[in-house]
Amino acid sequence: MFASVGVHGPVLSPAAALALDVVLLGAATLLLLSDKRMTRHHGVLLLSFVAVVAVLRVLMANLPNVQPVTVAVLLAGATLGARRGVAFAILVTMLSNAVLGDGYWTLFQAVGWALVAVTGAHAHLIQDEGLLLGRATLLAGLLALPFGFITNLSLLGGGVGFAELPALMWMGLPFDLSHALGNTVIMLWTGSLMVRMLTPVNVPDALEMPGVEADVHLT
Amino acid sequence: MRSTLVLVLIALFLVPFASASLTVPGGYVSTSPLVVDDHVLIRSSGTFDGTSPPMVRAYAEGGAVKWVIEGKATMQPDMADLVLMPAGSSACGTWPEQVIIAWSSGLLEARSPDEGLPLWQVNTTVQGWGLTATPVVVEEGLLITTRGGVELRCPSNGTLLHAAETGLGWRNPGTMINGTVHVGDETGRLWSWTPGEPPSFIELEGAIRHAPLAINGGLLVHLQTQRSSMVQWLPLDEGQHPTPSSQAHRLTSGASPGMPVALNGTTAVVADASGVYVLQWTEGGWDATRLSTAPVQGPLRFEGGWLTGSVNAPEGGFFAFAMTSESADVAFGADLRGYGTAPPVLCGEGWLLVKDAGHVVVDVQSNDSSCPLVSSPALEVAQESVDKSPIVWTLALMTAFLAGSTAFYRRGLLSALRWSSPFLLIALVALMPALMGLWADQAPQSEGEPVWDEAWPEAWRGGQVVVFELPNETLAFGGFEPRPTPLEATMVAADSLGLSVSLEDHALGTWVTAINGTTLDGWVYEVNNVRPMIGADAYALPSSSVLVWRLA
Repeated sequence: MFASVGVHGPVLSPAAALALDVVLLGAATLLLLSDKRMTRHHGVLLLSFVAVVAVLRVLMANLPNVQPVTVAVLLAGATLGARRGVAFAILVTMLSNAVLGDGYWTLFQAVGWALVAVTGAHAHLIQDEGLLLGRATLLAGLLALPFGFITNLSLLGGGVGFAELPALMWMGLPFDLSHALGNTVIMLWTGSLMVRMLTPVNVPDALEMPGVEADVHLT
Repeated sequence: MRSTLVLVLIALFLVPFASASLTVPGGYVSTSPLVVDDHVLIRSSGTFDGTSPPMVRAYAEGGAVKWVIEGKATMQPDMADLVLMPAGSSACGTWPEQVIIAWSSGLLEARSPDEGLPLWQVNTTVQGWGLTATPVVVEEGLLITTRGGVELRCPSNGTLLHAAETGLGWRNPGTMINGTVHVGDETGRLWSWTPGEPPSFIELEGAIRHAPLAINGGLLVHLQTQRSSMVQWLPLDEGQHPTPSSQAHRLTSGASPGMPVALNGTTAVVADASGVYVLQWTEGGWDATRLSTAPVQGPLRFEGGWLTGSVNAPEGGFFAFAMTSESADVAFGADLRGYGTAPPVLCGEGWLLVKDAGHVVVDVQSNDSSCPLVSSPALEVAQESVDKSPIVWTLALMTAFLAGSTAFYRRGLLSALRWSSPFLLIALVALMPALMGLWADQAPQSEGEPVWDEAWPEAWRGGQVVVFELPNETLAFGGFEPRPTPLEATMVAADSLGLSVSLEDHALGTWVTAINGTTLDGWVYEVNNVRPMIGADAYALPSSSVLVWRLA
């Protein structure tokens, strides 16, 4: 019996919302362009995966806080590195929120998932091109809690103050638990598949094939 | 001179024992108060001119109103007793301690005794009016007599388990004996019904307006006829159906009978306009003893070894006869007189006395202050039990699946987790609404101070004030009796201010979606400048608070 209707952070003006979107999109673009290893093939692969994960998030929106994005972002960070992982996180957040609802909270969700991507990049989840499933599952489950904390911060302001924060956190714990359990399930069942999909193909071989255009570095 | 001095000293000595009193506004009080922990619940029937609806009020120390709920006004006064149902469980679910309230509008509801928060509500069939009989707690559930039938409902959520149609009745609760329900009606039919089977009846002469009493393997009914009444004892056959009474077990009695009560398996007390009688069942007939000549038309009560009743006359008082050798008859010190039907009830070491006009007195019998209306008792409030069934189911699901997944254990812990986790997730998702209900109850609530607007009338201070921040204006209303939840206070204020409130029921509670037609991004509420994290129908609203509704 929680009052979920109308509980959100400060309401952004249209101009502020646009500015936020521009900043997030700009940050994602810069991160992609600044990655020296980024190829057009990688770009297409990444954007396709962004679309798939965003659609999955929208489709699973009715399940309480079951978020396929967390696992996808964690593995994107692990396979593609921190920069592309963070860009991936920002783009998925923006794209899915375009359907689910955009606002002040988009910033906090993007930051939360960006931190997940950075964690994934530094957690040594890949070994011999294979996923360390146990470690990845544990991490995916645990990361639900800091992510929940960060997104709860978006509720501050707009009538909700620090005095309400403990109650807010308390009320969010079942949803964090659901998020953690959802991450566990998604990681256990799709983690290895996601890693295979995200791992770049050895494209330079294409140069030797007549009629196939070589991949071009973006920078 | 010496005798005057003695009288003065006695009076001074009795000052600490002086009885507390209060007056319940808004219609007759025809039912006995219900003493619950640190407060007393009193039901008023509403006024016939419609100026005041029927209400249930919770009074605390010194007569302070803790919360009020109101029912829908009907042509029939609300005269069903409030019933305190202890926590329990059955095949249909578990329930916490709850107060069962039957309204003449047909609404049947359960509320938490301490805060008055609604636990469940169901509507029953209305034929002219709805519920007038006191609900009866039986092993199988809640036995409800509607206007034209009898129902067995689940105490966990009010769900209908079984129902049968009988004749039209009034203030006619049922009695369940060995799984069979017996209930009378206005035409003198005494119905017997085993849930799941069709009901049958035996025809008697006169209206039956009480619960039949189980006496010596039979049923005692006190039939009301036009100018007199008749007490009959009908033996039950092997099928638990009443058979005609013998001439020896018929007793003609006075007019306007009250509601009899059983003292034990063979003794009952009946009352009418001619007095109060103890009837001892014997093989040869009734052994009758007259206890009083006072007219009693309401219920008789047997509690703590005392038989109590209210004398229904212009100067009528009360009686409490000791029916066991351990106690003595009670001489009430309070001079509360008038028409009334509610028997006195024990409150601590004193007695709560109520008359129709709404006057309530605590008649303190000793230097004891455990009656909530007299002073604050240092009672530990029992921890409210909660419905644990969803958790039990989920744990069972978890355990079952984990046991199954041990088959996969040979392939490693990760494999076991892989196969069990989807089911755990399904269980968690299914459990989420119930879990959130439990969780919300435990949520730390920060409490603020009421923010007073100097423009408000001084009479509102110390009570509940509801403020609506509409797009073009701000409206406030206060000075009403405190309501248990923000939602109920909101409805009272909105009614008084002529505002419409749109509600939506969701699995997680009731949401206010529009106020006076304004929806926008939804409405949120604050209590004393703090936004509760639970819904407006679940938050315990302090009796002194400022509730503000504003657009999200």
